[in-house]
Amino acid sequence: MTDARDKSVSETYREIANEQAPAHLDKAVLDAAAKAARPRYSRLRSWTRPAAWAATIMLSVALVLELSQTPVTQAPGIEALAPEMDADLLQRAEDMARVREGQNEQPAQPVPQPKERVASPDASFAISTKSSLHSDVAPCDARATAEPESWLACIVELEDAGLTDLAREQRALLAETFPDFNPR
Amino acid sequence: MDHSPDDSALMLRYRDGDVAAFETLYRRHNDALYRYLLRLCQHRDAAEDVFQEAWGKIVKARGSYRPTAKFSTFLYRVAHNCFIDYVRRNKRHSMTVDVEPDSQADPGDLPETETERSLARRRLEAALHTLPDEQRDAFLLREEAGLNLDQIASITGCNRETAKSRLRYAVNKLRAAIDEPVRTS
Repeated sequence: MTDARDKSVSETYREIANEQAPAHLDKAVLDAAAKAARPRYSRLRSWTRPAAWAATIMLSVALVLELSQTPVTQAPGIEALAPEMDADLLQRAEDMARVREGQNEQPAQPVPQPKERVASPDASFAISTKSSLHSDVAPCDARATAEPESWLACIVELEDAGLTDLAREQRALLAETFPDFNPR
Repeated sequence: MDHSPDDSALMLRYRDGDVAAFETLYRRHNDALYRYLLRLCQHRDAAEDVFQEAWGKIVKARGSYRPTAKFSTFLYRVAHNCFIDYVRRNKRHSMTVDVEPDSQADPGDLPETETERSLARRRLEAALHTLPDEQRDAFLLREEAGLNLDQIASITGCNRETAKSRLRYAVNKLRAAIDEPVRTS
């Protein structure tokens, strides 16, 4: 016996060693092996990731193209609002003139005091705002009509702005309100 | 001439998805590995658990498998390590020996019709249970896996001389048990 192997022991062992692995173990191992060998992703799932990438790239390109072709637009600035302000200013001036004319038809009534005219803060604000935008059109608000000099200055500005009719009416009102004042 | 593919080729085919190759490989080794673990664990349930765990590791390792060594060496190394893990998890392993009831019977109690050969088998079975784990391991690796001393040493983590010594002690004890004269009352 060169390798410590005893033939009789080995033969006797072979006679007793006849057990076989139980069938349920065979099934469990083979099922696990088959499951592990299956591809991790099905055919459908194998397409999911490339499709998602393609969709992402297409959307990105479309977005970039859309942005590059859209003209740059700015929000309407204060200049865009100026025509509306002009119209508003003119409307207010005409309304004021109409009121003055109505007052002229009733000479017994006192000349409206500047204090009363200040009661319209919105109008004052609009006119003063317009004044800052178009310095060539002078308002004739309550503050301007409080003194004959300031009123005249306002009339001159109206004339310079081309509002001659309105300026003429304002001159008439100035003459009536301050008869001692000589506008020259 | 045997044209059946060797174990390593089957494992490589399984690595590439051939489940049938794994089944062929499994059928070659399942019974021997089961017997190895059954006598190593000395407990049927434990042997089944370790058996399943070992094959599970083989399956899991298919992707990294390289045929650098004999497949049976790889298989029994995995099984041996699973058994060591089992022993560590179950400190009471040596106290829960599950053996056939009559395998440790006193030869003196056997019926007279029992032949000498049958008696020898019973004595061998009983002696196997009494061997130290290392000696039993070496003997079973030799008998069930057909491994040589170098392969046994590699699997059990010892040098060749230690493996040889363990195997010699095991065989001597088993032979002594077989040759023991029948006690007469």
